[in-house]
Amino acid sequence: MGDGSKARSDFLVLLALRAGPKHGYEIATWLEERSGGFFTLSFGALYPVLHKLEKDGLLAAEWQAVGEAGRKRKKVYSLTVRGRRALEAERARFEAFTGAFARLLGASK
Amino acid sequence: MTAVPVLRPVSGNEGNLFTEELVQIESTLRLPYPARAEVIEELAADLLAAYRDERALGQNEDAARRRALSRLDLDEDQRRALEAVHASAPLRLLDRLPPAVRSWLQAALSAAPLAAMMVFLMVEVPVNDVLRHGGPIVTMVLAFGSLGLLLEMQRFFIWFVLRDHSPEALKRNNATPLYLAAATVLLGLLGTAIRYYRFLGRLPADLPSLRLGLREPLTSVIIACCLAALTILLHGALSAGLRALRVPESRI
Repeated sequence: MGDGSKARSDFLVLLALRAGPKHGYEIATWLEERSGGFFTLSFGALYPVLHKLEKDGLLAAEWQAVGEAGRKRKKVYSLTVRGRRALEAERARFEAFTGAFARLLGASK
Repeated sequence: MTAVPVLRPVSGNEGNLFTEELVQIESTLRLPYPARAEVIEELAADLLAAYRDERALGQNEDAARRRALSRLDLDEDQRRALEAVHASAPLRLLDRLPPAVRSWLQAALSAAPLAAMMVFLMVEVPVNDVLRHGGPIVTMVLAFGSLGLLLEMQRFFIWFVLRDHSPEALKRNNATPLYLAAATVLLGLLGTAIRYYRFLGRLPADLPSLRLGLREPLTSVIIACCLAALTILLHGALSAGLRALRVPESRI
């Protein structure tokens, strides 16, 4: 990721899932595309975040069959009610933070 | 100009594209099962999805595979983060302790059920009488039998309580307790046979045919148990020696 802490990674993942359920690769590409390539999450960085959020009850995961034979499965994540609440709280916090930062940057010009 | 994705057919063998990398990760990741197997399955699906996207964008098979793998980036810090998420509560507690304290406590905790069983036996069974009546061989039966049981309890504790399925922990899956159990049974038989043999030798001399008739068949049991117990113990010790020399398990 371009610049990020653990909390920011959690927020990004929750944000990516707000639009609907996704598997790991879809979350990574969604963030990459929507941020214009600023946020790039490798699978190595993504999995600990996903699994922690799942363990904490903020995400629910479901295995879905892939392909016609159905022998392979992908793990699809979605937001739980708790996850949605956590996202809204984080969103408000980030908006306050970026708003304050923008004002500071404007004042320093 | 917007690039138009070119859809190309993908080979039917694409399910095996990342097998080598996944096997390598699976063997080194220190996650408990089934979480480890699920991470590998999840990773396989994500790598395949990335590969298919790259192919759809016009990359050839090699480039698509390389680019999909570049998304993996599972470094040591990320492995540790993943391991921390899946580590069991007892393992997390033990990990906070210094290594020496940890190994001591681990040994004590896994030996606790055996100690409890021994205390129960000492209370319920006149152990001193058993030891005295059985002779020195019962001490050996107790020692080998307890050691085998202790090793199995350690495994149970490490694999199912701590849920430590690291390569080092899984290496404990060897036949040593079975060698000890087999040796214990043979030593038990040997002890019984020797005691009968001695007892029959003390029968009144006016019963020579009965004495010989009962004693002679025991000799084969005595010799067989002696040799088999020694062979099994030696075999187990030699296998353990090879493992200590780090000879691969598959070649032992």
